[in-house]
Amino acid sequence: MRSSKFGNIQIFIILITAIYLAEFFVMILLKKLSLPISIENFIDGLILVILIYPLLYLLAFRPLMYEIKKCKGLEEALYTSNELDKYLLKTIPFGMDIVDQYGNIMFLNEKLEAIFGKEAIGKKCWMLYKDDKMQCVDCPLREEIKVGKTKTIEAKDVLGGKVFQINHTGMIYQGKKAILEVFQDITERKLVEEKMKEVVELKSEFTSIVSHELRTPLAAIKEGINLVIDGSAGPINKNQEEFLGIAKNNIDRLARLINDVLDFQKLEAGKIEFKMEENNINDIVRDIERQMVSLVSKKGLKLVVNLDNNIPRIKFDKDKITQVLSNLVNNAISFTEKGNITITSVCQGNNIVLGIRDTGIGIKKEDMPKLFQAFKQLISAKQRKIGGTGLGLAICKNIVEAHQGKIWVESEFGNGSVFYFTLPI
Amino acid sequence: MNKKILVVDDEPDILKVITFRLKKINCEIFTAIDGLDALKIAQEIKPDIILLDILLPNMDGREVCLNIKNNPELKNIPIIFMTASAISDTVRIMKECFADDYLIKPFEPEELFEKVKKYIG
Repeated sequence: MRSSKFGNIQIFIILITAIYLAEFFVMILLKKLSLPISIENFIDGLILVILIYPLLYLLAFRPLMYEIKKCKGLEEALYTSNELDKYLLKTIPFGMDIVDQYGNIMFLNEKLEAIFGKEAIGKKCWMLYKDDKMQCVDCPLREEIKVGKTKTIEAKDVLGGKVFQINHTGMIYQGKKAILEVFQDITERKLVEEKMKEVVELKSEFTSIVSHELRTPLAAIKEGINLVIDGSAGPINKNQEEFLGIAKNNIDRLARLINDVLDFQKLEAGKIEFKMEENNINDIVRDIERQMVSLVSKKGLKLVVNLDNNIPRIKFDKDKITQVLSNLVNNAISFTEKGNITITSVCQGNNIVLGIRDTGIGIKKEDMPKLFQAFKQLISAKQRKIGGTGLGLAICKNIVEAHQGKIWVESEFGNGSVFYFTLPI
Repeated sequence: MNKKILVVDDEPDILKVITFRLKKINCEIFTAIDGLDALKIAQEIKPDIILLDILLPNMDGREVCLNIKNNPELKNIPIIFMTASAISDTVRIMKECFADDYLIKPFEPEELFEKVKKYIG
């Protein structure tokens, strides 16, 4: 790094020399004007020079020195920046060029120069890069160039069917408004993205066709069995009724599974539209309470509802949140043999927190991480023949997260569980 | 006079069980196994309600529904889509085609009676 060595001592020496030089010129002047070179005149001249110089120093010399110093600093900064630019242009793995406001190329970096050669200068950028030699529809040159502003476009059919992402930044180049273009080849990324999209579409289509095809025969089986069970097709005996009952229960289970798979798949693929409407979550809890009360008392349990009446109305999908609540309460009932199921709502900061507490078997610590994953039904659930699909909590998680909420569980094995979920206000 | 119900489904088994079930409520039942057939029968007999599957050969349920709802003579006939598709899709299709209600297969007999009674009393 170079630095200025123009210190205060040097300035002082220059000043003294200048004063003597000035005095010398005064003497010459006196002589030229044929004035007598007396000691008085000499002293007058000296006083005049001594008085004028500090003024001169303050008004002219010092600002001049300051400007000189500043220029030197700028020169250094420019030198450093030029060096950096040089290496940056050389190392950067993208093609770069600068075009004027008409799209004529004014500069290319080495990467582009290697392809097009120096003769590219002065040609229109789209004539050079685009397969159809047409200006891009969203080309920023179609608007006024704004210095310092960056616009990114994606251009298809560039350099033989490739896709490029081009960053355009408005700048001043050689005194004119210009645009710096940085080219990034995203052909492969686009291909992968497209393939992924196709796969997701295919999976979603496949699931809905399979579900449809499974449900249609199920409907015929179910209705056929129903007609026999309820005696519409003639009297049946107790044993026949019992076994047909088993068949019917398992058809219902299969239908639930198909519904859950379809639901889950659609949530995962983001294919479900949420109807976000302002509602009071407490009303939903009261609906669930009404629906569940008979099921709870049939099992000899008690359903307690503890609601914070001051919670605000918030936007959520009523059907989907009802599904979450009903799922969590159903789980609580399934895993509880005696005691209470308690539903609470409370306002905490920017969230409404809903809790579903049970006095059931609880969850082992090692099982907790599996809980919200699809098809990871716990052995405890299978042993108890709960007949769930292993998708309920995964669906709940998806729905809650789509509402920007969180869902979690607190539990001690043998001592019941509390499932919480939040909805933002 | 007995109410007339038109049941449309391309699955003969489904037609058979639903017809058997609906006979309990003293009504006259007509069936069709494809869309064109359904439209023809609807124009002929002017049913009091139509239970309509969506995926049908020749003319699909959506088109049948739109045809009926755009026909001044038939547009007041309630149409219940009866499908094995997902609920969200069914609700969307129902709104697009101005249908009145839906049943997702497999459904309970109570659901069927409830919906039918809601529209024909």
